[in-house]
Parts: sequence; C-alpha cells; structure tokens
Amino acid sequence: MKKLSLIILSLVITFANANALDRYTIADLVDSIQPSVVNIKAEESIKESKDEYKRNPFSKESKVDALNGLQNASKKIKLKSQFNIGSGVIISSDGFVITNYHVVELSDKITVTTVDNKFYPAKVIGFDQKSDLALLKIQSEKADFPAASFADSNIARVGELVIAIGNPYGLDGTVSTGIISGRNRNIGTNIYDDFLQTDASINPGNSGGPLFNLDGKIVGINTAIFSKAGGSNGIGFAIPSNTVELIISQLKQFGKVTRGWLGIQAQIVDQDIANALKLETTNGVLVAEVSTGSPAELAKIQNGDIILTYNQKEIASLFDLPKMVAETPINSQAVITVLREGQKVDLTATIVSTEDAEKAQVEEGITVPTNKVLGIYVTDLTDEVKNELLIKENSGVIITNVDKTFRQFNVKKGDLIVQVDQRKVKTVEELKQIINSTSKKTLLLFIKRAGDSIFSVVER
Amino acid sequence: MIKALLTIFTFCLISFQSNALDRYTITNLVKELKPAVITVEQMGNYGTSGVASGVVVSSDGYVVTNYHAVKGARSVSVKFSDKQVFDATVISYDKKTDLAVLKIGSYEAFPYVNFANSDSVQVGELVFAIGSPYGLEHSVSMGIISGKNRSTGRLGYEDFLQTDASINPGNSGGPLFNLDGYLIGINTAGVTQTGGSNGIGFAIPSNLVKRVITQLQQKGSVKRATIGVEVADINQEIKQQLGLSSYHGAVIYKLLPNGPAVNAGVIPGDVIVKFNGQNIQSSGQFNKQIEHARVGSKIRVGILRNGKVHNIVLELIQDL
Repeated sequence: MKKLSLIILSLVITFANANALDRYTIADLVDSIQPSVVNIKAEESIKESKDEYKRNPFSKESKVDALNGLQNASKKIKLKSQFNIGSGVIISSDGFVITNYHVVELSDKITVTTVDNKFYPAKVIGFDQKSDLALLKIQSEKADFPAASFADSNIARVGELVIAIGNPYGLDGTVSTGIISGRNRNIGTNIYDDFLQTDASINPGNSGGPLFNLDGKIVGINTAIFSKAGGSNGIGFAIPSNTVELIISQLKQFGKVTRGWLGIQAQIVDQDIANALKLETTNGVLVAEVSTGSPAELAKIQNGDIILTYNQKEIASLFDLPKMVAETPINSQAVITVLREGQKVDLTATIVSTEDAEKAQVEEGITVPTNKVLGIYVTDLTDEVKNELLIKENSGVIITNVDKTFRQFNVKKGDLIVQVDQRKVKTVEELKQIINSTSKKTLLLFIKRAGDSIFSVVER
Repeated sequence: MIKALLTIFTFCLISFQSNALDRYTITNLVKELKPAVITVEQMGNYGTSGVASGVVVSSDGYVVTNYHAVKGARSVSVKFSDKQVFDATVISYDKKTDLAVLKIGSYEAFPYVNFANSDSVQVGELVFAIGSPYGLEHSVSMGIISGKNRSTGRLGYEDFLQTDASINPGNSGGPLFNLDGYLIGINTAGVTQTGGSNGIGFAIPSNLVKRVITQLQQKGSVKRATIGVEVADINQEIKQQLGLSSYHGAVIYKLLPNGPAVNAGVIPGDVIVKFNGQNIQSSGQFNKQIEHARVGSKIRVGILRNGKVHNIVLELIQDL
C-alpha cells in the first residue's frame, strides 16, 4: 500500500509539472534543438534582382521602410563587403534547409555552417517572394543532419514562451527567449501577411531562423522586425509554421508557389460604409472592383457586393479572404456567398492561379495601389480621384493607405500631399525623388485634408 | 487511505503550482486580463491620431493612462479587445507623474484590474506588459523587474519600476502585471536613444498610481507640499564645479521666489543631504520624501554648503 501511494504521489508530482519551467528547462531544450539551426552566408554576385514585381517590399530595388523588415538591416552587416548573413533551419536529415528569401535573394553562392562548425555549399531549390521564404538543399553526401520538426502554429497561444535561435550580427548559435506577443499580424508587406509577433530578441542576422515552442518544434520562421534603429526593440515577426509548411511543400514539389486568384479588389466594411450602404453589421468585405475576365467576373460577382463567406467559412477580417483564395487548389470551385441589395446570393467561382492574372499589379483582396513610399501607399492625383474626393487642387499625391508603421503619424487615407520639406510635389515620382535626395530622418509633409491644410512630420 | 492520498495530492498540486511558471501561465493570465486593457486613440486639433494604452480600474469605466497620451486631446476614444469602441472624457490629470484619469461615456459595467502593492515587488520578479506598440493592439511582452525607485529626470516626480519587458511607443499608459495578474505599474515609454525599447522600460508603480488617481478622482488635482526648491542629481560636472566631496545629495538649482527655502537663506548650489531624518542621496529620494510630505508640517532639512552641513527647519507650503 505504501509503495502504491508513493508511486501515485510521484506520478502526481510529475504530471502536475508537465509544462513547468525551471532553471534549466530552456537550456535542456536548446541542447536538443540547436543542432538543427544553421548559419547562412550568401555571397552577393547577382546585380539585378530576380524580382519583376517592383512592389515587393523585400526586394532590393523597392524602397523598403527602414522600420519594416530585416532585409536592409542585415545587408548592413557584412563580414566581407559582398556577404549577406542570416539563419536557417534543417528540416530533413538529407539536408533541406529553410530560410528567408531576402537572405539569399541576390546570391548564387550560398554557404551553410552547422553547429559543429562544418560548412557546406547549398543550392536554392525554390523561393517565394510573397512569403519571403526559400528552400535550400545542402550539397553533401551526408544523410544524417539533425532536423527540426514543425508545430501546429494554430495552437500557438499569445503569452506562450518561445525560443529564437539564429545568427544575429554574426554571433552564431545565439539563443533568445520571449513570448508570443500577438497573432495574425499584418505589417504591410503584402496581403498575405499573417505573422506571429514575439518579444524574443530578433536582430539583423536572425532572418530565416526558427522560432521554437517549448516542445522544441518550429512554430515560426523569424522574418521581420519593427525597429527604430535597426536592432531589436522587442517587436519581431515570424511566419507561422503552418504557412511555412504549405509553402515549403510546394517549393519542394514544384520549385515555386502557386496561389489561387479570384480577381477582386476588396475593402473593409467599416461603420461609415455600413451606414452608407444601410448594412446591419460590419461583417464581410466589400467588393470594390472585379477584374475583367477573372474567376470573379465569370462567377458574376459584382462591384458593391459584400462577400460574407468563402466555402462556408466566414470572412472575419479583411486578410482572411486573400489567404483562403490563395490556398484554394487551382481549377477547383469555391462557393462564395455575397450580400447584394439585402439578399444573400450564392455564387460559384472556378479559382485559377495568380500567374494567370493578366495585370501583374492586380493583387487579390485589397485595394492596393501601385506605389509604396516609406509607410504610405500613394498614387498620382487623377481626374477621377479628384472628382471622387472633391479635391480642389490640380496636382499632388494621394495617400490611399497608411501601413501600421506610419499610423503614429498624422497621415491618413485620402490625404493629398502637396509639399515635402516645402518643395512642391506633383507626382509620385517627384515624391520619391525628394525623399531619396535627403538622408534626413524626419520629413515635413504639407497635406490637404477635407478642406484643411496640415503640416505633418513623419519619421523614417 | 484514499482520504490521505487525496490530501497529499491536493497539497502537492497547490504547493507546486502557487509560484510556478509554466508554458501557459502568462497565456492564461492574459486571457483574463485582456478585457480590461484598452487602446487609447486621441483625436487632436487637426485630426491627430495618437495611439497609446490604458487600463480600466473600476467597473463604472474609469481608465488610467499617461497624461502625455491624452495631452491636448479634444476627445479620446478607447478600444477594447473585442473591438468595441467608446468615447471617453479626460476627467483630470497630473503632469508631474504623467498620469491621467478618463471616464468612459457608458453605463455598462466594465472589466477592471486589481492593484498590487508595488512596495512588495521584488527585483528579478517576472512581469508582463499588455499594450499597443505601433498600433499592434494588445501585444504582450514579458520580462522581469530590473530595478526599483528609478528616476530619469524627465518628469516632475519619478519613482519608476524598471523592467526589461519590451516597452515601445504605444505601450504608454498601459499596464504592467505581476504573475498574480495584479497591476504593479503603468508603463511609460520613451527613455531610449532611439525611441524604441532597448530592454530598459519604466513603469509608474501601482501605489503611486493609486495615490494620484484617488486624488484626481476626488479633488480633480493632486495637492502637493513644497519647500520651494527644484533639485537635480549631482553629476561629475556639478561635483567639480561646486567642489563637492561625493555624489550623495540633491543639488538645488532653482528656488521659488518667497518660498520657505529662499526665506531661510537657501541658495542655488546648496545640496540637500538630509530631509525629515532621512539621508538624501539623490533627487529621486528627495522627490519621494516630498511626495509624502504634508502642507503645514515643519521639517528638519540638512543643507550642505562649503563642506558644512547646516540644519534648518522649514514649513511646507502648498505647491501650486
């Protein structure tokens, strides 16, 4: 009887502490997972970006908001002038490695260094700019690389402890811990943003490295940070593992990622729009434009429709839809329920691939204008916009959207920028020129907003 | 037998779990506390939109945030984690401690937080912050208490808890919690070279918050006593200039005309080394003493001048 009670007692103690943390919990975990984390050194030998989409915020050509993304920051740390450094994680014993696309973007000579200080050449098997992921294969006969496995990122909870391992500033095998600070974050990269936010230190060089949970499984790939001066401010972003898995399996099979395309531009139904359209709730997304010849047009979706569900799934936030469409198998059908003039209508669309989309600049889901400058999306003032917004001025640059990093400044959707640093601005090109002609951190914008004139200071 | 086992079982669970940190400790606390944390959006004179954080402190909708977060605001809106938005009026504020009290314009009952005793907070203790840095609503960051009784010289009265939990612009006015889920501080961002968190964040301790907001709610302002001086810490330059032998003390650099100190013959450059029987080693310590002092009381003050300590008695007057 005594033995039995002792056994029960010890079992109780063990199970009562299954998720407990003690002084060495993280140290023990690190011992087992660190061998799967690698350093990546990418020698830049390619001058032109492979990227045709100038709007890709991660490409070297586009003007990346210095607050957003490790890409530019990591390019500043070079061991020799032509190297780019980052991190990666081995996901199979034969040497497949995941990293960020921006780490290897302009390179055709990549070296992977493992925890035991051995280095191997690696080849890019495939990459996806939109998610900023790349799949590499270590070129070696070795078939027993220590590999990490994926967690289900859907059950990663805010407040849960996580561990980042990577190569910040070239300090290989650096471990930092923190928690999951937020989920489903969109940071203005593109419409597929769905980042896990963490306060674990993520610095330049951590790009492409893993974020582990306390089971030692990959819960995300560290990709971007919000930072005032380039180093960690406790706001890091990781691509959730479920997305990584989907992307990587496509890269492995096809060498590229194919996303579904519906062919609409949509916007949030906020209270103002709900009132204007006499809607009962702010659920769903409003179709602002249907692309000619697109699956949406063929399915008879119309301008002004409110999309409520996609394949029976409710559209809770604006960014749900692009993801759902992207993940729809090509050439399969999607049932879309819209609200039109007070009635629910079920429509069926045959989803095609984004590669089939005629205009390269049409992006799924959101009214995304063609130019992003610092933290704002801008477009030239056309007659159409002038009439729509009842603007008296004849020239200037309209702000069509403001991303999260610029929300702290006094700039709004609909603002007309007429001057920057007291120099007249008539087009987006002029705006870009003025911004590039100075390395000043702060810029003084002169804005017209609904009849008011406003001076606004922004910081890059 | 079974009874005994059950008792042991329960005892074990309780004792092993009470201060234990496990994988989901913070997750579970955040779930409970999130409903009481709000994002404060300020619409200023020209449609300025500033984002800060705040926390509900009573079920009738009183909110605490930083004064600088609502400064100059015509109206403020508060947004909850369930996306509900309410208008709120700024009831009153205290510039010296950078605190403000808002009242949500609604008759609903709101979830609110409980105050911990910040005096019993220990350095090294685990804490977490909830706030909206850069508009990333209800972000959670974790760290420890890195230090207590800190001052940075920015505000009139500082007695900060220092933490390495990430505190960024947008976190201001938001809560810092201990592992009981009780409020131990109100985060105040922005004392770094770059403006973003460098692992050195500051929070106004809950005891001070409680004292200030009680006065703000009851009297509309915080009544303080003063001897009519403004003090600073002794740095290398000052030490050399004044020929002081140590860095201990609070050097007086400004005097209130016709105030108690001036009338007693105190001059700029004098150093306060003792106040009400307490040794004063820094401006922070002096400010803390003054914060607790009462109008009308007569206090013994030790003033260091030219290497000698002179003891004088000063009567505290109302600080306007």
